[in-house]
Amino acid sequence: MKNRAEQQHEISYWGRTFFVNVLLAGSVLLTAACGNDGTAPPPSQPVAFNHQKHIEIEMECTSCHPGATTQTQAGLVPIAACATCHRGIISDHPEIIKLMGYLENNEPLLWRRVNNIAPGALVQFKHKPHARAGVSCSTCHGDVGQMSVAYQAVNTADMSWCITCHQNNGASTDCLTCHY
Amino acid sequence: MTRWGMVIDTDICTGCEGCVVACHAENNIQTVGEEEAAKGRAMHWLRIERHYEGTFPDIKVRFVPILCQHCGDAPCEPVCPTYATYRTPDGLNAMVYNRCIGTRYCANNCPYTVRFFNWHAGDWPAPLDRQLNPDVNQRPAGVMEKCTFCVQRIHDAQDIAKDKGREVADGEIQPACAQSCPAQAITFGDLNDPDSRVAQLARSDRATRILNELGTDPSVVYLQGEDRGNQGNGEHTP
Amino acid sequence: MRRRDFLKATTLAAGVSLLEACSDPEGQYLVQPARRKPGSPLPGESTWVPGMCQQCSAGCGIQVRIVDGNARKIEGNPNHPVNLGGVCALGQSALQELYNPDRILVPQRRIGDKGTGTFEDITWEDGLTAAVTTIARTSPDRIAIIGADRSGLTGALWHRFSEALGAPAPAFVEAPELEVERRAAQIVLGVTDIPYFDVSRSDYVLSIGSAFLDRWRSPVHYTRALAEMRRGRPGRRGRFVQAEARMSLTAANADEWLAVRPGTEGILARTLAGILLSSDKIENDNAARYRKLFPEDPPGLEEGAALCAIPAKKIERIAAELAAAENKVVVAGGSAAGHQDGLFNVAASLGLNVLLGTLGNPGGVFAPASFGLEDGIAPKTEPTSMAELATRLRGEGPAPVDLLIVADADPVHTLPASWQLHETMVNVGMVIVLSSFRTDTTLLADLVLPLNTQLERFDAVAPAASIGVPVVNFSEPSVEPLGDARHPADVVLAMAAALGEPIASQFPWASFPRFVEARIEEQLEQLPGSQGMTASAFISLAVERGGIFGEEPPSLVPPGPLGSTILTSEVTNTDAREDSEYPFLLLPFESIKTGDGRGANRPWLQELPDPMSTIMWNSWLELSPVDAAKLGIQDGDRLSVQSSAGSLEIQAVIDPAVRPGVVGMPLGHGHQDYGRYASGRGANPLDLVEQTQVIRTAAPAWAATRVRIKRLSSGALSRFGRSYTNQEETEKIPVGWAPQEPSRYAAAGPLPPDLTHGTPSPGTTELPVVKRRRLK
Repeated sequence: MKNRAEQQHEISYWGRTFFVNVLLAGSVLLTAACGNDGTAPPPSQPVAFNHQKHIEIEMECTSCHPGATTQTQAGLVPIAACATCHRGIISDHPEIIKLMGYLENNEPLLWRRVNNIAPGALVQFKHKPHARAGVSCSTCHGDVGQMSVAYQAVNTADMSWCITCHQNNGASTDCLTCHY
Repeated sequence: MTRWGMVIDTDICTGCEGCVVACHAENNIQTVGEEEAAKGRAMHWLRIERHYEGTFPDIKVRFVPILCQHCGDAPCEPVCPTYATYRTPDGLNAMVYNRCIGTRYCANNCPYTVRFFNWHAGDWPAPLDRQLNPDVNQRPAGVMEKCTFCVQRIHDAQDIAKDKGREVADGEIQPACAQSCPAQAITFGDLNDPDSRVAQLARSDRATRILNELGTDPSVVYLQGEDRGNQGNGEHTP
Repeated sequence: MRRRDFLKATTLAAGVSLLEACSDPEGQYLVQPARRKPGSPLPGESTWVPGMCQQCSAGCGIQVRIVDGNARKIEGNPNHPVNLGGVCALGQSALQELYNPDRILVPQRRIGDKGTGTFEDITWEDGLTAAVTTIARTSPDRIAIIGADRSGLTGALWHRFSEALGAPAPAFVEAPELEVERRAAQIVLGVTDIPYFDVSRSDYVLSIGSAFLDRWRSPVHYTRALAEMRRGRPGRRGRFVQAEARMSLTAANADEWLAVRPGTEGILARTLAGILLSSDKIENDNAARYRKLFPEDPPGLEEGAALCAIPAKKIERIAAELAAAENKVVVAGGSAAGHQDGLFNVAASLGLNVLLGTLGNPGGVFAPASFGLEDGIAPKTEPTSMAELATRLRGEGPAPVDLLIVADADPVHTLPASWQLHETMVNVGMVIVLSSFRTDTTLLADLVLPLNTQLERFDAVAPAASIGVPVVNFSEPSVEPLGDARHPADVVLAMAAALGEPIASQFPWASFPRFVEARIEEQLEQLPGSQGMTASAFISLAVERGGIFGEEPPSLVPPGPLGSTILTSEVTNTDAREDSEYPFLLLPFESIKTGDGRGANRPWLQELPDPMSTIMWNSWLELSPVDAAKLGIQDGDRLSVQSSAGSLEIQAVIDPAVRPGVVGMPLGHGHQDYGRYASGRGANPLDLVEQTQVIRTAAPAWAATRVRIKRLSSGALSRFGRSYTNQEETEKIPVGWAPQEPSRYAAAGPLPPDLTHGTPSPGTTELPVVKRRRLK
């Protein structure tokens, strides 16, 4: 006859595993239609931007993602910033022509989000504290220098990735740090 | 160790409810509509209780803003089957939405009735959704929610302070209710810091806490007002 | 719960939450703009932009939090002298005005019958052309203009416009008691606008009728002033007494509420004067000035007490306290002004200031102060009164009205139905309405020109309610405009330009911002802080600060009674008539939630419980338990209420603070057409108000209507708390304190005079105020 504590433990373990598996399955089914959470193939983009080529010439992440170390969101520079180089460099490439078309029409470019924390996680993620703590961009975003098409490297459908790093590095593991 | 707390001076609170709307705006609290409100499902994390005493014309009225008291010994915490609510080291009663499975036992246990259940997901017909605060998550249907002492503002202030390599200064964090109050009746800060304004006000002779006899150890201190109203016999003591 | 069910439920919940995430477009896309101005905020970055609140005439200074180009939160500007960082419920709801789903964003032309509110979209070009051609072909004496702002620059432009056309002066829709209060202030204090009452430095405030914590004049400022009076000076707590017929929020916050019989506020003031005059506490010259104003003998104590239903002993005590206080002030206005005897009521109350010698003294009454930016723009003629304009619309004036322009006002809703605005506007050939929303007035429009809202505007507005120092608010748009709506002043300028000579030359400004710049340039030397600056640089500085403010504390001393206008009381229409066909006196009141009615289309405000009744999403009729018992009415019952002017249906609230024989009803509800949150909700007490006017003025006597009540059926209200009539009632307050316990205040006894024991007092501004700024 198992005692109460063991019974609870048993339910908890199985329940959690089953729950997580069902959640993963559900998110795979649903991510085709909506936000990506790191387990589905990367979304197709309006312009075929290639990170690999840009990092080969040793551009910094923050050159195009200005908020990555100082803001909540990493964000993007405006298309006019792309034009400072691409007015001259490979300006006859069809993708560049497409890009400059947006700039000429003063039209915003709607990128499909690649990196997302699963909305059901109800997390408030901020880039700044992580940059301040010395976490490099590639730790969570993967080896972006090898990505010709950007994809999310980390599975954010469960919090094991985040919490393990927090535990190992002495960062707060209090729930309210991220979930509010 | 920090203990976040609040002092509310009921002698200068006029019951204008500026704080109630401020809280809604800051925390993406949904409006539930007339039918649901009639069932008692309106979600005012902070409410103004209006208490009458006496009969006409000797009526006395008191306005008391009631919000989550972030109790030191909260009755809502031990009854949650999934540990979705607990006390943080710095004195907040935390509500973790994604652990919540919606038994609503915590709301049942709260003697202040300051916990609210999302019977439905919030509905903000465009373009009202443009006003939503990106620093606070929208809660899905089926979870409990309540006042967080504007934890997003606490974190924001701590972040700025860390950038500058210093501690958070007293008065630097103002929850939405405290910031909006036309009478400046709400003060927020670290109760454990003897020099902070809240700690000093909490030592006032007028200070009291509500329902502390139940053993909840609330973090919200109320400063009582003067005795208001008529004395029917025409006398009054100044 | 069994494990299987638990897992099913959580899976379902997870699936639902993911599905909800799918519908969130902001999460799906990362928007890259084509260009970004240097220095503008990054994605997700907060900036705080100064602005001004225009939700009422108080003119508080605000700051707006902008993230990703959207306004997220309105906070007070801590450096603004009107509100000192505070902001009220109505002010914060300006966000729901800006982002309201029912806004009109393009001009509209009527296609259905008048009164059905069926419109089609048109362009501004077509709309302005239609307006201008109609103006050009209408005889000027048949043009009528209704505006919203009496004293602002925009109102001045309308006034100038109507004079340029040769049309009669415009009428301005404003709170009905204002005309009475202004007139009383003119007679008693010799000032041209409503004075400032220095509550914060006072030791004794007697307020007669003026609900200054509700919606009267400058509620945020006076709330802070009351806080300072009570707790801002260690060891010195002022006393506040409210004499009002109903228990407003203000009366509920008073140290003492004098439940004066409605309409007899002036008698109370005169009785107090009588006691003061026969005491030795009044200076001779003050007594002499007062007697010139009121040469008649004041009523005797017993007579006065009986008339105004306040015990004689209480009146004696109040008079003694008034005389003994070091700094004191008598505030007057509000509901006292709404009776037929309103002018006398307010004047008699203000007269106590003359008697007590509070004019220009700290804690007393000060003259209103302004920079006079409108001087020279509007002609010197008086505006038309709304009553006169209503007469013209009814065809009883010198000429019928063929063209009516209504700018940023909703007269059909905010004026009594007995004035027949709805019926008469149907017959006007062309009605042009400038509005941000569909309203009861746009229902009758032929042409609707959309106005931008407060947060989308460049504006320069002097608060209509003076706080004793001159203030002009300046703001630039906080957000990009949502549609193709414009500022009303820009519409005037565009119409004037299109009308050509000789009108166009009187409006030589290309746009409203250019007009403001020209005004500032003319007055630059007089404006504080402008030394060595150009007008446009000064305006930029003013926008950053939130406005231009006088630097000194209130100092203008009102001259006092100048002429010898003699006022006597004609006690009419009190609640003493019990044998009438209409046994109850109706007291409409402005609620903090809806103001003049504009707040009704905002969900936050509809769901906000009224502070006294805690009712949400509805309006109500408040009845005393005595009357309810007599009529067999329970809380929430549906009632039919009738006056000689109209009828309506409403639900009942039994309120222990209501005087028997009197019923109260909030204004601001009962809109016919004001968007999804307000239309058809509640009832408008102005449907019942008769055409009576306040004697010697053209203002409606909105508190002088009598009604009868009939119970229709039972019902329930959306209520957040409970009312209960006395402590023996079985209804428990659902939360918090148990009512059966003895009041802890009763047990405590009188408190010692030094209540703060040296601890810092709330209300002072010693501590650093949070300045939100860009995260660097």
